[in-house]
Amino acid sequence: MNDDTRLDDALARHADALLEGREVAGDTGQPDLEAIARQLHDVIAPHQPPDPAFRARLEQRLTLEWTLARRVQSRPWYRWRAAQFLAVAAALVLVLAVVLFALPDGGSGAVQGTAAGPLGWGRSCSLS
Amino acid sequence: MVDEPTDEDLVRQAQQGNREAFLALYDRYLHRVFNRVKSRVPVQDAEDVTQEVFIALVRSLGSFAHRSRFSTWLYTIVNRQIADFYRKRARTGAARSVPLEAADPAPQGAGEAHERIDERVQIQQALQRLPEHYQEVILMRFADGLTFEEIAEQRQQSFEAAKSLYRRALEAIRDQIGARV
Repeated sequence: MNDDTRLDDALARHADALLEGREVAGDTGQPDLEAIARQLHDVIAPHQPPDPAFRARLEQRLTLEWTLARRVQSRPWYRWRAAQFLAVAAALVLVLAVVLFALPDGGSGAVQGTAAGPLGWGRSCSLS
Repeated sequence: MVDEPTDEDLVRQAQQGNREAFLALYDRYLHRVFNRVKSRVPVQDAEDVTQEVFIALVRSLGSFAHRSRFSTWLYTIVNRQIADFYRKRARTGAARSVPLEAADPAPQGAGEAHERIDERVQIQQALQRLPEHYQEVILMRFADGLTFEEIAEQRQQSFEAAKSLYRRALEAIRDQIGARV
């Protein structure tokens, strides 16, 4: 067993003793770490449960929140409306995309050819 | 003997609309959540933040997908609400330090008592600056009252690793305090 493992065990026992309210000192050989653990215990450890009045208030509030949350979840029309809205939006985007792609040159209105037939790239450049 | 339902059983029942199951979870965790919050925010704000945690829990319970332990997920909500609390305070210009005098009133003018309060403020600030996994092991032991065996189980690591993590967390606090002295 190396020193770190021995210290791990001693500090764990020290924490257990603190939480059980037993007086402990010097077992770990690291008084500064023991002092930190004691201070942490004093700051954090559960000295008293939440105030009963607070508990009652919180339960009331949570009952209300629970009812509201369930009401929203149990409204199928609410979800149906959202789905309908999304479907219409998606359809509009699709139609717009199709129209834009279907237009020649992305709808810029540029002339692609003449009565004599379509213009080749070189010819169209020489004419311009 | 009837087995106590697990957290996950209660969550599933609550997700199906069983309010009693939700209240059982609330009963199981109120004290732990309150302790965690109390150790990280000024004591006069602990009730408000605890309330926000449970309201957030009710509202988001339906989205819990059982991919992690319920307690892990709940403590994520706790951490988020504590972060929100400090964000709001920063916005309103209040100091981030935690007035522990409010948590443990000391007789005015008592030098020794003030020194003790300073030490406690220092230790709490050091705790808040620790990496998440170090904070977690300390809070699990002191705020939740879990044994090292239970901590190891929750963190899915060995008993030795949990104890070692605790020792390293204490050393990290010592280094922080030492560095600032």
